[in-house]
Amino acid sequence: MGHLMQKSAHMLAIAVDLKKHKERAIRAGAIPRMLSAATIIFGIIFAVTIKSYFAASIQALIMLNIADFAGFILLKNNNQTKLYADRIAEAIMFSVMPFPWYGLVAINFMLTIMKVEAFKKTPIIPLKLVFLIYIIFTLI
Amino acid sequence: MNTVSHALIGYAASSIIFGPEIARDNIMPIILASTAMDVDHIFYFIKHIKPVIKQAKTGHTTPNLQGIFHRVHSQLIFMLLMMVLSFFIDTTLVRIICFNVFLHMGMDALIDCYYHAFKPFSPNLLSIRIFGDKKMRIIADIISVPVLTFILWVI
Repeated sequence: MGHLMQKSAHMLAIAVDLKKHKERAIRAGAIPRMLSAATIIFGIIFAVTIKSYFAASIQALIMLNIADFAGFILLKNNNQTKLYADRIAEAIMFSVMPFPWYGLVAINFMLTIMKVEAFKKTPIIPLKLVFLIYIIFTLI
Repeated sequence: MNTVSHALIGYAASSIIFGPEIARDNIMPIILASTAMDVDHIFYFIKHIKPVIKQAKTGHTTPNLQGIFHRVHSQLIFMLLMMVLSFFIDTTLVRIICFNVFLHMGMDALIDCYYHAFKPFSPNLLSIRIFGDKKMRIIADIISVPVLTFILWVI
């Protein structure tokens, strides 16, 4: 409980006083940039092809999951560029989907904010993988 | 990426996903959704007009240029709002708005040099920069409008 309160106080302090963070800047390296770009691009391809070219969209979804898996292996630390790209790719993908996915994406946004600042080990719902399994079961 | 390109990309992608007829009927929501996020640039432009002119020449963007609408917490609130709206208004319209807003975010994340997306929770700059830092970015910005207009004309 004490640890939780300490974290909350830390978050509040950051929200109120940003001055000490002004100089801190991290520029992403080549691998995170490539993986992040791939995630967003495959997310857009998925959203654009889902209605007209279903097979292409499934392939984009598989590639998206491969990019995620590669990110999991290669970026062992908390890489924020990849985290953000993942959320944006999810939001683009699921904005063309019906109701439950909107809520799940919003939950993932919330978990990402927590992971970035307060609780580094916060697990994020693997939505893209869940959706791939959901589509496979629907097809069968 | 410039605002006109965002609108053109949004319209082109929406015509592919939802069909040309639906895109034509909803042209105003598409343009508004794909450009409204850039409203937060205006406050920065008004405050820092001289550095903005200098940055336009060098091709650099500043981390402070992207204001409140480009942050993760705004996107979270927007997603929740869209979820609630989807129960009350036409689902296609909600999908069109939601898709165009996040397509804008995606393009910004891909192309812009510096992006303070997690502020105030994290000060880290996010930068994918698929067109690099300076010259290529300016060229892409300039070329994107006629190229996208041509693609739309062909569609």
